Amino acid sequence: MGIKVGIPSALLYFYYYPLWEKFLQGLGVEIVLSGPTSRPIFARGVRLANDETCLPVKVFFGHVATLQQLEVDYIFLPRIVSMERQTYLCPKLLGFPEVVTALIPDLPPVLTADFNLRKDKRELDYTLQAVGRQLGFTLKQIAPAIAAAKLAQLRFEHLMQAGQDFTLALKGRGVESSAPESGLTIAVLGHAYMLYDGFSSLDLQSKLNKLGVKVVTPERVPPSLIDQQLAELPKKIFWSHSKRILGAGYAFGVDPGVHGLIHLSCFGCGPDSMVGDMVERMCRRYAKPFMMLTLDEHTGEAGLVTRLEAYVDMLTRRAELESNVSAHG
Amino acid sequence: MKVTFPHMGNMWIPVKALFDYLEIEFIVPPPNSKHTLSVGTQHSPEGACLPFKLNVGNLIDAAKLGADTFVMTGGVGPCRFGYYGELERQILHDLGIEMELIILEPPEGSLLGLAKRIKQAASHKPWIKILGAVRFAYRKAVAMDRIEDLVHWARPRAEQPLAIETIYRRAQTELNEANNSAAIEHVVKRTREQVLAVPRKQDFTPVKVGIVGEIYTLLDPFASLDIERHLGHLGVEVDRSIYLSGWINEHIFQGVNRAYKEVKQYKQLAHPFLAHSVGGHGQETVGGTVEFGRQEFAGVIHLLPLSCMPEIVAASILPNVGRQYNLPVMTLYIDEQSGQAGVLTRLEAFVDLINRRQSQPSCEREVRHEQIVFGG
Repeated sequence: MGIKVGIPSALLYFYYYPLWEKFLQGLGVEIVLSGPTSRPIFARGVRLANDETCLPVKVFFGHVATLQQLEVDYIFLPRIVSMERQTYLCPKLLGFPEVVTALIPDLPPVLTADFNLRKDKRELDYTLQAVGRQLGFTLKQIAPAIAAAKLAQLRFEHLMQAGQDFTLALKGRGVESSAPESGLTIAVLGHAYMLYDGFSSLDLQSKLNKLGVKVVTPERVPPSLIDQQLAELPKKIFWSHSKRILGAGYAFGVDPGVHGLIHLSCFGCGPDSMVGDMVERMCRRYAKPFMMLTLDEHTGEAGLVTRLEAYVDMLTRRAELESNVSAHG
Repeated sequence: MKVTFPHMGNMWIPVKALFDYLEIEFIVPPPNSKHTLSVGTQHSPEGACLPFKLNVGNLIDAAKLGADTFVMTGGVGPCRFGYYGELERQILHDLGIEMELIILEPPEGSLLGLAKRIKQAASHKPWIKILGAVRFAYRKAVAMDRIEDLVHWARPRAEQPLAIETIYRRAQTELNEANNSAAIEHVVKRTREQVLAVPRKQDFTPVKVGIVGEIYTLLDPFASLDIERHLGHLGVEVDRSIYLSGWINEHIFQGVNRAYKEVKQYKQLAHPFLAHSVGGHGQETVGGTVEFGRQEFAGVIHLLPLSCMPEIVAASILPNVGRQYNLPVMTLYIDEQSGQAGVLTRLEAFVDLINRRQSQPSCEREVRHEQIVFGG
């Protein structure tokens, strides 16, 4: 029997899964996923995690606890410090291996390594080599797996940029045909682990689609445009994911094809509290409708639907009356 | 140029000394109060942490007093503090308050850039004068720390703890007014004499409690709801993981100076529990708790603003540290809704608990109470 590695389908899964998947598969390792977030997973997470931490971290704990029950040899719990030059991820993620092992007793062995690309891009190779060696593979076996993994990650990011649906992009499937665009377009800003996790975001995207709205997300914006949008800032944003959210927010804010912005945040998110406010300030300057949605484990679906309907009504009226309706929904 | 700097406990004393030495007009914002907090909360993002909201309140107040430039320290993450300055600038700008911002940090790692910013903040005074000012201000910071330590020692032992508060307040004023190194030394010496002259309780050994956590809530009595004073009056001798000069040394001088209490060793101590830096002072909190555990303190109180990212990591790990060192740890989250009375009740309960544990022989002490979290 080969080695079974469990990967929680939460948090950074939504950013880097294709990389991990192709890498581990290239080594012949079997991957066990905890599956899409569900109520039982969520309930487990809320029970185990620190009370005051944010929703995605609680969800993540639920996924780890779920993997604990599926016989796996390892749980993949990397410490991702930085995936890009001069940036960091959130502090909560930097302490992850210790926090998870401190709060969930009797975990299977943890497969971990520090991904720190802050200073040097080549660290990605070195770190993946370290992961492979922990599983008992030689550098010769690891090298092709790394190459394939990087390609898969690149393809995933390109597909997301092209506007492919998240689950299809994860499978590497290309965009078939884009339907002609009509009606409202709303940019939904937020972390990928909120946007694409149907349970955590209360299916925000499909709710908007049902209201006849086309949704665009930060993953649509190419990195070069994000850098260009943020070039004016006197101080660089040092969180990689928030940098994308802010840059995309600025880009959508000045895009006449985008009718309104929604910032999907979760209670207790530190970086969001800063960049979300900056996006809102920009929207006020350009009279672009902006709505802030803060979710936590107590958010009710009905309340969310009402707010979305009101927002979309407002945008529709604004489109008809040529911006004579207040922008602050 | 009229410079201001947001409050953080006694930080204003050395900062004012710095600018006075450079002969630059410095505006001390009115002390942190409910008013500061409510003004700050009104204009800050809802989810921002408490220190940010107080900062905004301070800056708005200082602008009313005529300040036109504000100086901040910075950082490149991952703690939110690194981005405070820029967002504060945007908030003030949108309020119609035009203030120049000087962030004292090497922009994109350039030390030359840092030097330029220091020169700018110092109105292009000669370097020798700037260095003199920094040395003088730092001396005041160290003196302040020594005085605070003295007060921590004296509060639980004094028959009349209020006498100590009077001495402390006088020492703050005198230290602020001291205009040369000899005068600084003199203030410390006289404060010690005055403290030692206060009558002490007979046959009384106070229990010791360590306070760890996020730097602002540790150093600012308004933010911490004055828990050091309350604990002192409950007969507890407190010690802190981080003192002002230790923070200045680490954050601004990159550890080249000698601080009153160094923070360097904490990373090493934290290593078995938290092997990587998590920004802010998360690792120092864990390391500080280990240190207090080793010194056999009776308990540790962990202070953090609600939603503080590095300290949430620490808060999740501290129960493990507490178990290993048989050390009760209480976590107190603080935000703009926190009330003094509620916190006081928790402190009393905590002090009762550790006093009971202390009176039992160590083999019978319950290990159950590793952590007491009284909700948010």
